[in-house]
Amino acid sequence: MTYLLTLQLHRRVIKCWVFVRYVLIIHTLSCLMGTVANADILLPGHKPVSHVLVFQESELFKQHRLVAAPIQGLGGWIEIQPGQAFDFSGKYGTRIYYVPREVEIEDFDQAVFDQWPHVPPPVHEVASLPLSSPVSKVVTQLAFTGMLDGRPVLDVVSGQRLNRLGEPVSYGGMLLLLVGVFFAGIVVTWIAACRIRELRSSSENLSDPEVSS
Amino acid sequence: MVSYAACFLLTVVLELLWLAILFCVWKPPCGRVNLALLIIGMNGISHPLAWLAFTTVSFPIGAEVLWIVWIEFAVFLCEALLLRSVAGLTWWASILMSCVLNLISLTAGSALLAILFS
Repeated sequence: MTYLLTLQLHRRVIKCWVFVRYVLIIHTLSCLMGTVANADILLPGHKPVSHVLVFQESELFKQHRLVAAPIQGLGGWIEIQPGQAFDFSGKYGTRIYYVPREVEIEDFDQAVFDQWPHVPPPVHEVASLPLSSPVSKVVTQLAFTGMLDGRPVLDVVSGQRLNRLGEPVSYGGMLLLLVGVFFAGIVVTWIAACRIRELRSSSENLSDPEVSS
Repeated sequence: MVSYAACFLLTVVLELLWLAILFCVWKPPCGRVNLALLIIGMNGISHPLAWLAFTTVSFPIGAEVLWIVWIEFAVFLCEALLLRSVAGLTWWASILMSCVLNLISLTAGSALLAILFS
């Protein structure tokens, strides 16, 4: 009898141990997956936003040719046209290359691209913003102002933050609306409080026999 | 701006809808219209403050939920006190009313925010 009970107890202990081991394995795996995934995953409470660059019209584009390409990742390149927005990445290290006009680029080759003078964009990429932010797109306008030591000189002209409808986000109007709603709320509360006070005083007068007579 | 206005209007409409249903079975001592006015006014005060408190703070990881809970709790408490002192409702009625109104506000706001900012 005692032997059977001990055997049952052993079985239970073994079952518990197996369960704990499974939990530990799952926890370790989820931790490992979490650390790998965290590199690309947005922080909680944040949303992705698109950040694009646009070059202003410039006479320099007739003489020089600029190409944007990342130094990491899967490659790819785009010839920059003034007035046309293009994506860039801070994570993949987009660089702006000065490529001679006579060169024909067929495929992205890092070694070939490295030969040409290049500069990073003069702006940091805004990749994510808090979920509560109305901004869904950031547009930075750049100017190609000249060449210095064989490298293109780029300047930031302006930056614009747009909402999901493509309209500029104005914090002034928002603040005005909030202040307006707040004061309207105070006025309506005050009116309601006055009406309730009047109702109470009139009902008290009615219930008071001296006043009602 | 549009999203805020939409969020505020949706909250007010849903709360008035709930009040309309409630007033079919209950007559508040301060009058139906007065109570509805008071609730709209309270929304007008609390909504911009809660919005500002939520949108102007940058949260560390996972703290946004805690922050919303704290804001909502503060709003719930203030509204319950206001309903008790101004409208003259009983404590239970004030707490229940404030709780339901805040739940509506939180649900409507969260749903609309999720749609608009996704």
